[in-house]
Amino acid sequence: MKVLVTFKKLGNIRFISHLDLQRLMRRAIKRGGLKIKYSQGFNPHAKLGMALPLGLGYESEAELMEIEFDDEYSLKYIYDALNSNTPEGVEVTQVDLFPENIKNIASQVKSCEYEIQMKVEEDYELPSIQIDEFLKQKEIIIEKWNKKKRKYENRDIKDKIISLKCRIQDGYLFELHCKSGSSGGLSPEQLMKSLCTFFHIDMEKIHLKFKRRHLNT
Amino acid sequence: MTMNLNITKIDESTLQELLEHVEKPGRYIGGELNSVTKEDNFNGLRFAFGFPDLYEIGMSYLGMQILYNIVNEHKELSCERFFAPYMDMEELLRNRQLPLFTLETKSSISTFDVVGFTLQYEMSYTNILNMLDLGGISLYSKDRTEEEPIIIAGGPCAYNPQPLADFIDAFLIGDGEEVLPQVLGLIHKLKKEGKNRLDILRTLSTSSLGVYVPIFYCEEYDELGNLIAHKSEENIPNPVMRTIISDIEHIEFPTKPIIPFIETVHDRAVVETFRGCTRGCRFCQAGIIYRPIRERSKERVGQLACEQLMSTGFEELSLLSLSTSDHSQFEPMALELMEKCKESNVSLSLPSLRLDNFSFNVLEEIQGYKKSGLTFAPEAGTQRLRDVINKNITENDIFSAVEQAIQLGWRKVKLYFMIGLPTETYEDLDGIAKLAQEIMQIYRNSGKKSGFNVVVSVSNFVPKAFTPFQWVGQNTKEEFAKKHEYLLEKLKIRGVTFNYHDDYTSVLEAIFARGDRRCVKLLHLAWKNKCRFDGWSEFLNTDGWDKAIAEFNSYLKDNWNIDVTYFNERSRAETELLPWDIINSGVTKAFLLKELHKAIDSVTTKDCRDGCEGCGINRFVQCKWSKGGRG
Repeated sequence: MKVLVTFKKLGNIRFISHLDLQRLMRRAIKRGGLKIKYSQGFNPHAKLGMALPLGLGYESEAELMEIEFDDEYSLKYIYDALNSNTPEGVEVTQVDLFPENIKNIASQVKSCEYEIQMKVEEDYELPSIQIDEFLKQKEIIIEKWNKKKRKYENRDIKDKIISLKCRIQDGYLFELHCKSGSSGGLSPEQLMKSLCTFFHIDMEKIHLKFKRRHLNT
Repeated sequence: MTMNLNITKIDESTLQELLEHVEKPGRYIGGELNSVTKEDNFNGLRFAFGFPDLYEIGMSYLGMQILYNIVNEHKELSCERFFAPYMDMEELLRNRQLPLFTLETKSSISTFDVVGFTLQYEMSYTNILNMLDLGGISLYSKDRTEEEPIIIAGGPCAYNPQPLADFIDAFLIGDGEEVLPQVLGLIHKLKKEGKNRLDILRTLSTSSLGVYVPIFYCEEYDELGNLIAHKSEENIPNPVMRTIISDIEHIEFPTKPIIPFIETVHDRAVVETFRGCTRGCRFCQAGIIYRPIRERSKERVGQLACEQLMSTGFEELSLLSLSTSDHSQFEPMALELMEKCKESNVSLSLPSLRLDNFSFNVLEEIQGYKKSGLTFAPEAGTQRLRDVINKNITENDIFSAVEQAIQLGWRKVKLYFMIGLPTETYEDLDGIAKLAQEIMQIYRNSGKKSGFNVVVSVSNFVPKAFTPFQWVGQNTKEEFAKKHEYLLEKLKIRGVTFNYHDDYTSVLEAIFARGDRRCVKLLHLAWKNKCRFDGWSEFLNTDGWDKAIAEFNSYLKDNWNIDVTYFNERSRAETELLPWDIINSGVTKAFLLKELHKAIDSVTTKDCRDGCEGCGINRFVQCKWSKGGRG
């Protein structure tokens, strides 16, 4: 059977990488006594996949993971087995049967929603942020590392932003909705860098904390 | 910069900030499954266990898992962990004047009753000084106040404790499982009674718990700089007898080890199958200091493996010992474990196998497609030199194993050698090349066309305390370099890859492996020159070490007209008092000396299992083989 698991990644566990999280899940499944399915062939691997890797240091309210099992279990049983074996900060919120008409969850992600908290150091006066001014630019340029050419390149990501809102709350709180998936996504960190440059914000004087709120499939 | 001692704990917001600015924050978060945090109002003895290297290395070390588990099982004891911070974290801590902290409660290590270090390799010594300094703890034992923790250390390098003698308050020599909780319990009791540091250390020293407290001893040298006496205060044991656990079957072994969040070097379940080794290789320190051989039964190993796999979800299981195939029940044990692992999709890893038919069958089963590399450690290139070091492996053993391996589809053979061994000549180096060449020839004769590669890996011999070669001088850096060049030329063979170890590190290792208390100075100078992580070739700061050695040399010259080569290159007289004679390993010096003489004459010594050679260990503990061999 194949299931779609929704889970949170909150607190210090945000400091482990995507690969670490996958390993953690495989171990939790084993400890929970669930029999995960292995691929055939010379190098069998456990059939477990995440919808979209989450950056190191990001929290998430709703990550999506698909798992295939050798045996049949009730969804409640899987839910309990996982939750009693995940460490603090990783909490499964939902287990559903995997929809039959789709192949894998990664191909289904259309857009993501992030919440970005900008805190400001006490001695720093933050320039005011008029988010419309930023969004009104003809193009929004970020620097992207090109692995092949081994250098940074400028890229316009204006068309990736579906919406970007901002309000004053413990500094500033941004709500970003951006495209994602096969056509390429957008790094919220790079976007914030571009925003800080635009508003002349000294990045040494602020702290940013990223949280994924939702993956839209 | 000195640390701010007022900060006893890293608060949550500070921690978040630190973690956001380092490359691998997962090293510092703690909270792993099976890690233990005692209650908030815990008022027993608090022990901080330090591994003087990165988290990924330390968490792969079984000894820490064993001792962490044992100490925390005691209600009145608590054990937390800390590791050497990576450079980025060190810089943040120093810039913000924050103390080095433990993973469990993020407390400054200076707030603990006892801080302990495990000494696994000499090249981690500068990290120990750095960690003490980052914790705001006085580096020198003599400078520590009543408020500061008692600093203890144990592990294989504690067998020559002298280069660290001024920094460590008490060394624990021998098996730690029983002694560590006893020592901590004793400190707890004495502290409650209001005893001061000196009283506590004195009681520890006379406790027969294998404790060496350096402040109660001093070294005396003659005008030539030779060590002539280990002086000790009245009623202080001299030498200190190592502790030995006679039976490892029934001692605690963690079935719920801490499961790291981030990838570590050995990210797997591990069961120690036996301690000690009967083979008697003459360069090997572990082969002496872990005597006698003590086994866990096949049943116990199986049970521990199962429990550990169930409680961790690890995807790999490995066995740990000095020579895996030497367990008396190895074959049935390996077969049973293989079966269990197969059932639960766990891969089994069997390091240091002797390559006989059985092993090939096992490897065929467990590795299947993964026929990447097969490893041999002949250690020396000719039979003569292998006899000198008592490495009981012949060319025919290697060739027939290689032949079989090639037939079974293996495509790579790794050969490990040491250079600079006693009595070595260039003929022995030629032997290394010849071995590699003949293995390639076996491949060509096999008619296989799959491609084949021989990797020759050469390390530099470092004489160690408590081995028959403890009297032997090490090659000079120049000799090593010349031999490396010679081998580079000789090993220009199609299909052969040649790797060798840096000679600078080997020289430093040799200085500290057999150094006396004067080497304390060298270590301190090196640390002041910002040397740390010396075991990592990418971080080895040779400029810092060069300067430290130059200053150390002038100190040695002014006082005794010697230089640092006195410790590594010089052959020692058999009658000479050795810095580590302050420790009794259980094996007699006479036995080591006899082994040295046999080595010089290229005479081998048989495996203990084929008859007792009289090393002396059975004076202290029953040795399975002391009443004759298996035949």
